[in-house]
Amino acid sequence: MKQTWLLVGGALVVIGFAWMVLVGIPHTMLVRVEAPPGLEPYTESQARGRTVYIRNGCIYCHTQQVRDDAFTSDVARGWGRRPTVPADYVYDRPHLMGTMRTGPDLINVGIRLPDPEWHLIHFYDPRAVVEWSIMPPYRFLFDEVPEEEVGPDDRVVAIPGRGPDEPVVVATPDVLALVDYLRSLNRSYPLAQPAGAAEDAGIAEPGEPAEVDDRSGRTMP
Amino acid sequence: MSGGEARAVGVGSALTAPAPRPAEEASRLPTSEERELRLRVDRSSRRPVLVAFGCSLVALLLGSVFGLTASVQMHSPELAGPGWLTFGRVRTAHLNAMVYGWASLAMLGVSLWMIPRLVHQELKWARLAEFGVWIWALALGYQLVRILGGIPSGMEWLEIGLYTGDTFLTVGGGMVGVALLRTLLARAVPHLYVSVWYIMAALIWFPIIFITGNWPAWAGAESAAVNWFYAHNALGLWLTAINVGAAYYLIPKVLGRPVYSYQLSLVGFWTLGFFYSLNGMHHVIGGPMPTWMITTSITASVLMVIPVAAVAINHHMTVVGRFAALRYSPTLRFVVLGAMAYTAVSLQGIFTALREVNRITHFTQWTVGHAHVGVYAFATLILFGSIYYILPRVLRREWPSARLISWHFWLVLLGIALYVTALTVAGVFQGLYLMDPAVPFRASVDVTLAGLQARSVAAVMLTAGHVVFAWHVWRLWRRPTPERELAPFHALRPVVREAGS
Amino acid sequence: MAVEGLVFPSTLVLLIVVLAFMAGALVFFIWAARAGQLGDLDRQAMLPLDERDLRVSHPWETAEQAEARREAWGEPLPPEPGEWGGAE
Ligand code: HEC
Repeated sequence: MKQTWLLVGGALVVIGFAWMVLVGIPHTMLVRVEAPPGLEPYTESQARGRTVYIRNGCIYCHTQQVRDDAFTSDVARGWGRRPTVPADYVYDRPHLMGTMRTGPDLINVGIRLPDPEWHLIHFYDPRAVVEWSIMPPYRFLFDEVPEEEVGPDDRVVAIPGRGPDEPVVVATPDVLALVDYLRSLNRSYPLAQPAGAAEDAGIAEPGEPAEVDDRSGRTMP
Repeated sequence: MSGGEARAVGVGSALTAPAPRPAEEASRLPTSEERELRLRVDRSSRRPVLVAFGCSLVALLLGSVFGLTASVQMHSPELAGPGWLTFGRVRTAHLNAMVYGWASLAMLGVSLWMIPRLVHQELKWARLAEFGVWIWALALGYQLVRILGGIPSGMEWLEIGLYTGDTFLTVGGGMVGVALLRTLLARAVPHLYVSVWYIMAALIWFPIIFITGNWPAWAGAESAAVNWFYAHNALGLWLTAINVGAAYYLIPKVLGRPVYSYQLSLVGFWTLGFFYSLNGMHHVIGGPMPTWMITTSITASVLMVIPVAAVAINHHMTVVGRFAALRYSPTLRFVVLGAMAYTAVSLQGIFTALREVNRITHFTQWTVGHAHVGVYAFATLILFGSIYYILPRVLRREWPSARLISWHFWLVLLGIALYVTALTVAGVFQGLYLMDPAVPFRASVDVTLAGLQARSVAAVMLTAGHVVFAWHVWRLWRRPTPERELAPFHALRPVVREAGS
Repeated sequence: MAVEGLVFPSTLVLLIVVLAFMAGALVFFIWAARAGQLGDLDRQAMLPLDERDLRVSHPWETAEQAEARREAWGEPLPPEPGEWGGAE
């Protein structure tokens, strides 16, 4: 090449094309995705918990997506009753779909683990509840307070194996919000779509069996 | 530009080198004049190049410490620290320090040195470029503090704060880009060499994808699409483009022969831009994304065979028959290995983008291994090689020690080999266990532990290699400019054999 | 409901955009090639190489390679310190 304009112009054409295909056109489609009736916006506390989730990098070990059950075992493993679809994420800003499953998928963890106490102990010391865990402890999300200084509103967490003379463990508002957020994670509601709509949107794999499969929620009558 | 014609002379079939010299082409610049030109050009880019390399080395050391910390914490969570040392933040600081600090700043340095050389023109607006590098580096430093403090934006590769970071990186990088474009417009040669295409295109592509990725308008599934549109292109159109460009310069330069097939490099460049830019959605295979997007990306990923083969043929066939040169030239050793890693990582990437493979390897340590073949074995090794070539030329003095270069080389080479092997094997097992619902989740955790521990050993080796390298650069920097001193590794004998074994 | 009926039109849009861009790119490159932009590549390939790079003796080369180099570029020059990854 000899001319700068050829280089600059060509580079712009190339990136412009990719931009149209992967950003521009999907935008026109995806902004029109509406929240399914079963999906609630995050409450203030849940939204705060979501921030705590982001701030502490939970996404680097946990995903929040159930992949297509036609070729993965995500559903079979019990991480969801159906694969997640774009509509499940309309309130997610930004998405937290993640790329790594050092720990289990969490998009439906609210169904699996409803007990706040379990979560609190688990965050303070994962190995106290799951002995083989390699999840890091999040003790900095708790305060250690001498027994007599515990206020009436403080949420004391009964950590197994702590001696009576040790200071008690009190959950901070941050970790309570985080638990609130996790308990809200539930994408099991049926998708109120007419038959085949998801396929039309290209969400399902082509060539999938068309019989009613309420696990996937995709071909609900 | 009339003088330019004369300078760019040199012909012959690119396939046979050295090219035969026809009688009418005897008008190359006399060697002394070429040398003058080179000195003048190198002097013009000296300051920004030095600032870029200096800052990139600081980031390399910081990033190594972050990486090592995160690696150890992963298999030994009992070593968790206070909030700012928690795995999720240290890991993020590692990624950002390495990608935007080390690799990007070193790439800016390479670009600032190489473009003026390739267009036979002094770097224009060098002050602006230097200032831009400073802005980038300082903004990034501040962002690392913010990440450790727990204020990342929440999307991988895009954790840097919008107003406090992204803006400054865009402006700083833009200043470098403008200075280089200005230099390009003032060029004294009629041709644009293939490295110029790659580097200049990368400088155009990067701001576009970076702004797109950070644009605060995306939500939900769309933000995932934009996330991976950006993150994949940050590899493909930024890290890959500049490093492939650097290899296209350094390999012929050291070997004293043109690339194997220049026509092929043209094909390679345009197909890379066209296909790589469409690859992003193979990061969400099976995920909540319209299937046509994913299919488009898988198709484009497979088509990557074309540019990869073109670049591979050019890089490798130029060296074939002359591999002994690797023993004489540390630069070539790093660059050729980096180029081989590029071929490897691209083929691995194509393979991983296939649904059948991806359903197993997605979400496992395989991906982390793959990312390190790309950013480390490919990009970082080429950057090391480039710095070995460039720094003495801008500082006008020779590397003090062949032994340190050997230590650096072997530590990082064995380190990355161990790293990738450990995580790739661990990832395959992790993926197979995750795929089988009858296997409890615990098994997928336990099976990776040995790999994660081996990765920590690798991280120690890599960090040690980086310390050696930084120490060597420091010694080079502190060295008085000699009148004429013979390089220890250069006494016309192979150096790896003695110092390395 | 929300995404119903979007796919066909979008695919059509996609097809048109793809084809339009392809056509644009094709025209662009044909024109560039005809304007001589893509010609003379052999010279371009030699651009990074100074005369010195071609003439200097490369100790790793075989006798034939060195001889070919001498024939093409003249008597070899002795390499300087750090010629291939150090200072000049
Ligand atoms: C180093 C990787 C890692 C990080 C970082 C991490 N986790 Fe985990 N997580 C795990 C592993 C491994 C498990 C499985 C063992 C266990 O239950 O502790 C797990 C399990 C869980 C579970 C139980 C899920 C189930 O189905 O049993 C929840 C809830 C959880 N993590 C939430 C979080 C949150 C919230 C964060 C961020 C504050 C986080 N994790 C950060 C690795 C991690």
